[in-house]
Amino acid sequence: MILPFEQHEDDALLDVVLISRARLARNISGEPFVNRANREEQIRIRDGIASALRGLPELGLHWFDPETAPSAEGQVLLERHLVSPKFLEPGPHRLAGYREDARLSVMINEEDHLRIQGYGLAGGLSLAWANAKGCERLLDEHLNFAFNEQLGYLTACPTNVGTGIRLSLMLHLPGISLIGGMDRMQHAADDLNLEMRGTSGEGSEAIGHLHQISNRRTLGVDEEDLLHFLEDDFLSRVVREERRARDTLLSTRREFLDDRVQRALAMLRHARLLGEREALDLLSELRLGIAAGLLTGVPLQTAGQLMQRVRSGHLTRATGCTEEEPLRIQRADLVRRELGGDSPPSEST
Amino acid sequence: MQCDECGKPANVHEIRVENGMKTERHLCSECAAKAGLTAQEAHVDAPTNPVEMIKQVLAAGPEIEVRAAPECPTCGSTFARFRKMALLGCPDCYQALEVPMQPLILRSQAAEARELPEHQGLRPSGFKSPSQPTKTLIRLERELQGAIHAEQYERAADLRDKIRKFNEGIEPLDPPE
Repeated sequence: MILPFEQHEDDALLDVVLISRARLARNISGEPFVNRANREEQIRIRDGIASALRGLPELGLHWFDPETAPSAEGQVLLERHLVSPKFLEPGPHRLAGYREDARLSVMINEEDHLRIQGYGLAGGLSLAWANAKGCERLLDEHLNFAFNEQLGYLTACPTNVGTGIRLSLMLHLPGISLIGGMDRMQHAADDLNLEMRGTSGEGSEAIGHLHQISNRRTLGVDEEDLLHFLEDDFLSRVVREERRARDTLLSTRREFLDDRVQRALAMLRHARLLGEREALDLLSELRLGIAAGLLTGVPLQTAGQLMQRVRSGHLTRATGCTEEEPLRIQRADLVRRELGGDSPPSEST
Repeated sequence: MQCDECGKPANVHEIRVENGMKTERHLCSECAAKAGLTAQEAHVDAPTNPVEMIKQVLAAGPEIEVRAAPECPTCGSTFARFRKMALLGCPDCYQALEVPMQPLILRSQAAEARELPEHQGLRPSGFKSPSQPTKTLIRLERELQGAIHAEQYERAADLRDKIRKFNEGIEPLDPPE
């Protein structure tokens, strides 16, 4: 099994798609699920899976043990979407493995014994799936996963039973949002049996016009069919709609759009203190301006990367700051530096 | 639900249908044992071997159903626990709690379908598929349990006849014991 970690990605959809992810849920046959396992069983399950993974050096995994590692490290993995919020909650004996290039991660003893997550960037759902599947097939030779003919892979929550797959796309949809099309989008997603939610998963708010879309159904639908439906049918429609919404705004309300974008840029270039939420919202406007051709000189990737670098975990790792006020200063400094704003304030007495 | 005899929680339920009339008895394990109805006899909710399962249903007679309140024999999880946590306790819960779980899985996975679709996609490389007759028996038994649960007794009787005929038909195929 060759894992396509190094494959070049098409960035044709970069103006709309930020991250593509394919997650597979698996459990070890004959063991209780994590929620029913005692301490000894949790450790046995964790160590058994970790041992199989350590025997596969081609996966190139680094390890993160939430019981012993500093919490800031967990926060960075969370912001990179390599672990889930639930994984970082105090609880069973857990372990995560991840590739530094963020193409693959595994979570042991989250809701299921094993969650394998493959990633691609813009429109890289096929790549995300290939990475997750490659890892799963390698592990399949060493671990006995709970499975039955009718229901497929057996998972702690029946909403994952079957393929155990959750394909998700993180989409930047400011155009649809600004023309008031999100409700229609939500209904369309419901009709297609897709889940639409905010950036941090279930029940979360859509910060910076970022929305996560994923499949609901996992039983009776082949992974490849689901992939083709999401990628070829659904995603192409959403991208078309978002671009059309941006064009509509440009042709009918150009000043409105330009004003938002230029104000955002001015704030980002001159602010001395920036909160995380504020920075993400402003960067979202900036990203829209770049994609719509209103701003030149700032690459789309820079705005995308900044949306991650301004997150608290990343800033803490980069600067050592943990307090809120110094973090706000550091965030504003970083953004000014990257966007060619004025120099940091002089140290006057 | 309380035991009809002593008022303790009832976990053995007898449903009797005679000449189109349905009567029910709900008993605790002790009173059920005194009455000659034990959860052991009524193990139809958590069978392991599909052929054995069918034989148990047939042996229970055409007009009597005795069902234990479903509890996973492996981890002890109940449907009440699932409703509280939205999580099952172990892989065996899927079989043990199948009757109450099935409508929920159907609703969350395939709301438009009348019965659960069969898994499609990846499978463990070492997994051996059951033979076709066994798969048919599993499907018929699943439908039978669903019909009993929904109190569709005519449909249940039809299904039981089908199972009996099917079972008789395939018996010569089984190796002699």
